[in-house]
Amino acid sequence: MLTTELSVLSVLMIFVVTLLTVLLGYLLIRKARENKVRKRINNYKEKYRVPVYDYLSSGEVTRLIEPIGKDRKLAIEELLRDFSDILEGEETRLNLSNYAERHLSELYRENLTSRQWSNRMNTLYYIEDFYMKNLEADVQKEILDNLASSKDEIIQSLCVLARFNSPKFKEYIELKHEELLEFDLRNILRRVEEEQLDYLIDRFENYSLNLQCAILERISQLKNLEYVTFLESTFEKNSGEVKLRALKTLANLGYVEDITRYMPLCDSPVWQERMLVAKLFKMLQDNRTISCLKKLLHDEYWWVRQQAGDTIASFPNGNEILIEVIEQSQDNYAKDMAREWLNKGVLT
Amino acid sequence: MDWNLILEVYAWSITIYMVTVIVFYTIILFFSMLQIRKEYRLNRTEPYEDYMDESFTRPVSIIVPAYNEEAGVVQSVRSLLTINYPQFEIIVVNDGSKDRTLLMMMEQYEMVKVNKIVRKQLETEEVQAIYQSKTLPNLYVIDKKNGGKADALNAGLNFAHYPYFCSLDGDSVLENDAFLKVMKPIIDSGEEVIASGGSVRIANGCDIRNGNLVKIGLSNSPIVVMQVIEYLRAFLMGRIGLSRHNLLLIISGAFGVFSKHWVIESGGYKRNTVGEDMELVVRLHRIIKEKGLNKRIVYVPDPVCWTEVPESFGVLRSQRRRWHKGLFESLWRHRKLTLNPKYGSIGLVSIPYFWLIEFLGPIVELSGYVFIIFSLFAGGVYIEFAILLFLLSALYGSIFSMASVLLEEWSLRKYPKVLDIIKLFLYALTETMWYRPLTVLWRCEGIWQIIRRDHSWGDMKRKGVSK
Repeated sequence: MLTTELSVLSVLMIFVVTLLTVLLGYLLIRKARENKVRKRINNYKEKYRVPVYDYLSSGEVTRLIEPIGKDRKLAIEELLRDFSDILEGEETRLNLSNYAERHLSELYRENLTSRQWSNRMNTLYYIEDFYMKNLEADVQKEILDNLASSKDEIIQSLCVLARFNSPKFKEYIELKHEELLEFDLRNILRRVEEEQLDYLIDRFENYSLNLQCAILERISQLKNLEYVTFLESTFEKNSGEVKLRALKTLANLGYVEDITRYMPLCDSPVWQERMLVAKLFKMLQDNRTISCLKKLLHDEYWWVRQQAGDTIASFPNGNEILIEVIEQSQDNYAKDMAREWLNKGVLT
Repeated sequence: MDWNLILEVYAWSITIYMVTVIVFYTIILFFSMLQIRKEYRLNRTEPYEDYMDESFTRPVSIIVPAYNEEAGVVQSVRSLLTINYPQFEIIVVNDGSKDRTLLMMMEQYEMVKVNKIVRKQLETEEVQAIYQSKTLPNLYVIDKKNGGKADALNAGLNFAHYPYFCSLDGDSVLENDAFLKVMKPIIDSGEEVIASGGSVRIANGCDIRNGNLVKIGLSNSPIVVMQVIEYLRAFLMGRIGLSRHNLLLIISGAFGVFSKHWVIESGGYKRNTVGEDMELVVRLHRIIKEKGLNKRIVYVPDPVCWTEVPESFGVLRSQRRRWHKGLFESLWRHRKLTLNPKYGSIGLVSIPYFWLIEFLGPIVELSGYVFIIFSLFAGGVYIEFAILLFLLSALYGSIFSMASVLLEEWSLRKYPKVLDIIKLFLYALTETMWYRPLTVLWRCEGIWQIIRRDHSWGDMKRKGVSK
């Protein structure tokens, strides 16, 4: 009675098992072959390691380091990857990119149009790592102008343009920034120099919140006091997140024109603002801020208390203030925090 | 009633059940294939380089609950200290150990007692003291009265300073980039992801020194090899397929990072649960839906954590019973979600899947085996049914396992030797003959214990993974 079902199932089973076995065979052959290729590449790597290193440090081209064939090129690629992480010096970097441009450009042009997403991604990473400026136009054409590109590819391409200080960067970041997260934008802007950043600052008001925050973050990294005026006016003019970020950046730079304008933040209803103002006071080291800081040491938020403690401890008479709090305060949390910062001073 | 009819209905129900499961697995396998293949051969370090910048990442608190772990606790902490992540703290919670766990920590890391007042956001057993390391200021030990693993984790959560935390068992070893890999989706999503789990692999057979994985290898013990296949199958297939649609229910106890805010908001770990990690994930899903939050729980296919598994039948048996009881507890506690359209795909797909396939599956399978044995004696038409059932169970036992082995080799390729793959493939082929029936039997025993309200947990003996 079950003969049809059974035969269908048996045929199915035989089919699936055969299919899996064939797949296994294919994967095994592939693995064996790739293990062999891997071994070959490793041999080439050893062979090229010293000559390539010599070339990178001296810039003298010899016949020894002209790779022919794909395996050799891959070996070179891996070597350059190793070296690019450890080598320093302008000239060495230049040699490295010249060398990469000469031997890997063709391969990478091909890779950028590859159907495999991971292949395109890897190539974008290496183009940036090796500073292959000659591929800039290809990145624009194949990835940025291509509507089918994934978000990761767009981000990495923008990183490439930013790192290369490309004049096209502004155009593309304005075109693409609205679909990107703040994290992505921060990551891209990390590579941007002052000149490009000035352009973005001039048009700050036109950008999405994410890009605005990313710009402020970049200023914070550069620690350039020239931006204080911009930051202070951004802090005054805005509200919410941008205001907060501007304050954070000011606190990181540790400089403001007029400290009294920031004193009222001590009573801000937003705890992040109270924390940041405590942080700002650390750099300014102004005795007028002490009463405010003592108050913040009694704050309901751990982060505010923590920062207030940190700032007080950094004052020359910090320990005395902390001891005073421990002895006089009724608030266990404040005393605890004061004790902690007092201890840190002793331990280190 | 006609006996033949009853038997026939019985056999057909099992058959239909199995066919349904096979179809379900096939769909999941397909989704996993698409997902995993996309990242095939992506450079495994480049995407994380940018995340090493401190201003980008979120700091993580690592909570290590320790109960009588004097043998391994120092090693575990040492391995954690070398991980590649910009900002983290390690909180070892000594859960009233009766051995020298606390002493070992004190001696090794120069712990000093600190006066700290901890805001008690979650109820726990009394905390007796808090210690901080003199040499490594980011290392803390909390000494508390015994209250079980969940209680220890809650005590750690109360103390943790950072917005994300992960809990780690003493018998696991992390890859160096584990946190970078697992935190990436959280950062990428702009914190829309509130929990992120990583793939767990089996440490037995690998070369581990000083808490670091030196070389990946395959154990010679058949029972370990079968578990390797089982993990591959569960992680590569199940979790990725489910994760794509925000259906992920389990973040394995071995490795997952959670947002502290949301875990505390949902009440922390539940005490007296066997599977506190699964229960927590179900609860997080529930809260996401109940509050209409735009949050997700994801899963990263990259193996990030290597854990020790049982090498003897006895220990494996009690582990499986325990897991099954844990599964039941989580599902039962949140039974309101089952088939409740208010909970969307979780209520309509995920929970029913765990009830029907994961929880009740063993009973159906066991009755299938019983039927096969019965038919050998009865003969006649039953033999045909028996063959049918056997083929089906082979299809869903062995074949999916073989496919998972191939999927691994097709994409992630962690095992270096050709021979390893052949070995895994051949073992997978034998799964239906012995390993599958055994685990089915053990899980049924778990169900039996639930019915009898037997709450013994069974202990896992630790050999220590590190040399």
